Amino acid sequence: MSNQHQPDTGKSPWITPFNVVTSIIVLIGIYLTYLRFTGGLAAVTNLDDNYPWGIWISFDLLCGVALAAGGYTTAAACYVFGIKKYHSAVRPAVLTAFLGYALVVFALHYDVGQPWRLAYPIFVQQGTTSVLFEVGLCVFLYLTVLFLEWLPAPLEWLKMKRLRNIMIKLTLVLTIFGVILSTMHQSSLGALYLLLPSKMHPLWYSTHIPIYFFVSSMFAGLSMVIFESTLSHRWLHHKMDKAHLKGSDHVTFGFAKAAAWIMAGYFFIKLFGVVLNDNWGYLNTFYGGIFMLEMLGFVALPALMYAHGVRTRNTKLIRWTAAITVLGIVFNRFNVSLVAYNYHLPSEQKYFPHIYEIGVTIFVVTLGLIVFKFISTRMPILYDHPDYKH
Amino acid sequence: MEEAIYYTLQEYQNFTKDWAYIFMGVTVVTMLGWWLFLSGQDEDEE
Repeated sequence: MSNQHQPDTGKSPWITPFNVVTSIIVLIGIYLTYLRFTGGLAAVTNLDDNYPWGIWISFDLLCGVALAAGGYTTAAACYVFGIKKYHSAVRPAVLTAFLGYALVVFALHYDVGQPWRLAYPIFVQQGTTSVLFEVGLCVFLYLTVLFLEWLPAPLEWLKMKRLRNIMIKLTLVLTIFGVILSTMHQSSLGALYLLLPSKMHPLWYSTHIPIYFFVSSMFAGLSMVIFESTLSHRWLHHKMDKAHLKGSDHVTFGFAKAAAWIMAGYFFIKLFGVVLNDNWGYLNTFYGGIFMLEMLGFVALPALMYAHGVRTRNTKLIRWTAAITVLGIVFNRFNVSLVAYNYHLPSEQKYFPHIYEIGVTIFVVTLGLIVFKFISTRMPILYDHPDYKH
Repeated sequence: MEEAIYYTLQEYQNFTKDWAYIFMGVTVVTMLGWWLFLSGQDEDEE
């Protein structure tokens, strides 16, 4: 296979397995959207007074935001810390983050309803005493920053050289804004759960939960960059140029090492949560088993696997570890928002998502894949545009 | 594990903070070792 990217000629066949499967999912998604906005939440969800937030919040929002953290971690490593060998990973990571956040806002419409009132919390009536206001403000600002960070790619594609050069000059300041907003936003998503000391299981509830969310987002983002790079190598290899292919190993080993270090720190600060709240007694229960699985199986084990992969230069092991870590973050966010939440309720009152809720989530993820594929096959994401090569 | 009984907040704080300080020491030493383990092969490459 050639190492030089092949520009899209627009003559690719329309009937491909990817297009067929995604088209079916999109059609089902449009039907579910119709049901949701004509019949209300009750028509498509199992939400009730005990569970006003379901998997649309747990997966689309909490996991979506955590896994979009690759944008700020990669940009900070390259532009703030000056580690230029990660440059090839910046554009795919920023695109993933931008789409991740855009889909968070898109998916939020299904939960909140009334899309025409989306701007109300920012421009009409600000609830400045609410953590949700901070979440909303950060999503609004950070989505704008990510859009501006991503903008050079479409501008190069559209050959708008002057505007592109202006945007490139703003890179550093946008990266700094991005890091600040992400720090606030990732932690404030955790801070939402500070409201629920009596509803959350003590093993997950902690006054340090904003810190847990922020620290875990860092290794989630790093792992997501490795995971996304694995998928791109598998499916979009022909779009990558030599610089991107060469930089790929630097990114894999560097990010795996950083993730292993942060995961060890995360493991210990979670352990401090158990120590300071004297939660030892809960470890020997059903919920304790889930907690141990999360901490040992999805934090300690991947950290060891990353470390072993870095020491033995084993790319394959690191890529598998990234997938496990991404799964672990999903497990953690589900545990916080659904499993540990309302843990005292009898099982018949517990929430399990309706098949239509799962359908909407699959629809949202599929939309992200379609847009990612559309952009990365047309715009200079996985290669340097020939007019702007260093 | 038998559940401990604390009669005062002072007792509870003493118990949990004692353990927290012990874990802090363990964490510092472990993290140093972890960094050396992670970076162990770096010099060989250079």
